[in-house]
Amino acid sequence: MDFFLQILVNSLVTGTQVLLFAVSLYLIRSVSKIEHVALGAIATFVAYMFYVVFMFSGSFVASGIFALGWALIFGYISFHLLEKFYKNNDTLLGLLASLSFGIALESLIGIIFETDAKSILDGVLPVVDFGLFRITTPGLITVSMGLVLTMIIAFVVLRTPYGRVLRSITENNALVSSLGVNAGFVRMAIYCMGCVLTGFVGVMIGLNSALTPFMGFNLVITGFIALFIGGVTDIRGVVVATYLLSLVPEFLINYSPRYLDFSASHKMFFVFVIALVCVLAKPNGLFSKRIRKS
Amino acid sequence: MSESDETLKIGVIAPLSGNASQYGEETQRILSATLKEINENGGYNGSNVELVYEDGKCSGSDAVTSFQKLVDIDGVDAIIPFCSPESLAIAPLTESLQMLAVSGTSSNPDIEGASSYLFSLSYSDSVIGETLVDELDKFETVAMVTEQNDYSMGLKNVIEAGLGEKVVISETFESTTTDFRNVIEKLANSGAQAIFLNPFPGPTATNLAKQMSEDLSKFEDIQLVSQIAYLTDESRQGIAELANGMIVVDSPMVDSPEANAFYENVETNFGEISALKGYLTLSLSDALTNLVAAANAVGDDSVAMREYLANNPLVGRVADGIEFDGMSYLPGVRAGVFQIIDGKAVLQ
Repeated sequence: MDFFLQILVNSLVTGTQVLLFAVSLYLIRSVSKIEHVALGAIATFVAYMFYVVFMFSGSFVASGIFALGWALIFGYISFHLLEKFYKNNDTLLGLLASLSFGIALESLIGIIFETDAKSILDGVLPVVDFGLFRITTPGLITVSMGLVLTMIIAFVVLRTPYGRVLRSITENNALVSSLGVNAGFVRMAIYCMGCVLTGFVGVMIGLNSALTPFMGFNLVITGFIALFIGGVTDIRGVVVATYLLSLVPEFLINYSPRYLDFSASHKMFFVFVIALVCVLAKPNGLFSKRIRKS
Repeated sequence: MSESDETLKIGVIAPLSGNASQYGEETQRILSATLKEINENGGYNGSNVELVYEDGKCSGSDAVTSFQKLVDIDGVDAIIPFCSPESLAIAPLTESLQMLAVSGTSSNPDIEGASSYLFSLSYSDSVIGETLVDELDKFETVAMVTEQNDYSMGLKNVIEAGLGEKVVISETFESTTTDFRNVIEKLANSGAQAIFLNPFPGPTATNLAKQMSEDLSKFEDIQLVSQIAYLTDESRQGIAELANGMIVVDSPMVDSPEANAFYENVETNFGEISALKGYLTLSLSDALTNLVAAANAVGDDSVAMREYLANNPLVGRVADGIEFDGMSYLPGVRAGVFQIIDGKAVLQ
């Protein structure tokens, strides 16, 4: 086994989890200007719903359908919760409403399921051996699905008319509506898509390690930071920023001299230091161009 | 204080929910069995002794809330705290309110001298830590992984101080961590001859071991050493291959005929004990027995009970005849070294 590759692969799994959060935050912000930070708690709740049905049925299909249903319900709830803030242009209040909803939901999960970690799968996970590195089956699904979905979304956003509609909704809602586009429906669909994507991450975390009521918090915070340092209107920047925030801390922890004594518990420290450096150096996003002001 | 001198009310602060809830459930079973014995043998001056439970969640802040409720609302005469964080958090309150607290299970070394009204019949973690140092000192290099909680961090500090430069890597992780794969990779590549696994017992410990088991070849030539987290059969379910040969240091397993009869009594009449089975079953039972003995000797006044316990030989199954001798812990309790052989923890 190659130490470097193994750390890279393990970090890619966690990085892709963050990536799907960042992409979901990006999509929702694109159509509503609101950072829907409750996605962390929503993903956690959806994963617990998967867990509940799996414990009773042992069926991935039944559990997946049930979890998908909950993700869609949360998409619908999110839309109705935040739509009026979008219409009133109260994006900060929208963020606060989303945060409050997320914290309430996390607390509810803690009350219902208690705070101890819950594993969906008993026993040791199946592992795929690539010679130089190994990866668990849920980890492999997370990385492959995450990258494919992100590429599809990036393609749609950047290269298709649907993407142009998506981007123009927040810029000129009235104009888009006059072209026959049901902007409200598009926003609701995007909320649902965000909840499904992050719900998928929640379930994969449950399959790959374990569920805890507050597991979504670090993911959504890292995704939120990636959104801002990558550039809120630049999906390529968001993708790069996500992996920057996920991979660099892991390599700093694993390759730093012993006397520095860095360990896994320092990860979020490095995330915030990188975020600070990026925001100071490139305040408008990693790939933003300097615009001369006259 | 109690509403009536005829009743002895004892409050119990234990983790009835959360990660450590198994300990809370087993605490209730052990104390129920002890209480039945006590009440059948005359209770407190011929009246029944009452236990009042509060959920401390092994957390200091919850323990303080529980303590205040037990003292102010339930009017208990003494308290049995379970976890070290609970005992340490209530220590200043026991001193200022002169409320006697006797734990059977709290083991943090900081409990020693924390309050003149707080005692523990458990072994101190420093005893476990020193024994772990003796075991790990047999190897040239040691790596360790520690969960950030009072118990594990206490052990980490003792071992790092004891082994010095032999510790090549000392990883810590937050209690909410569920993915340990990079930590495991770092441990396996550290070149250490032994790895000390130091999580809190429960799902986190199981999860860590499950992820280590994904590639057993990494640990073929490395001696795994741990503490109570992997002592029970339940904690090693699904990780039998990884755990085989593991050295576990914890309280000694007490298997005298009297002790075995008590374990059987608890399990037959009140439910299974696994996580606490052994010394802690008996020391927990002894905490209640000694509180009642003190009340029978001097009445249910907490100050008088404290004076009695501090200055007289104790009673019970593991504390019998021992005196605190000015200390908060029982002097002379030694740790036990076990090895996991064919799925069973065998005392060495």
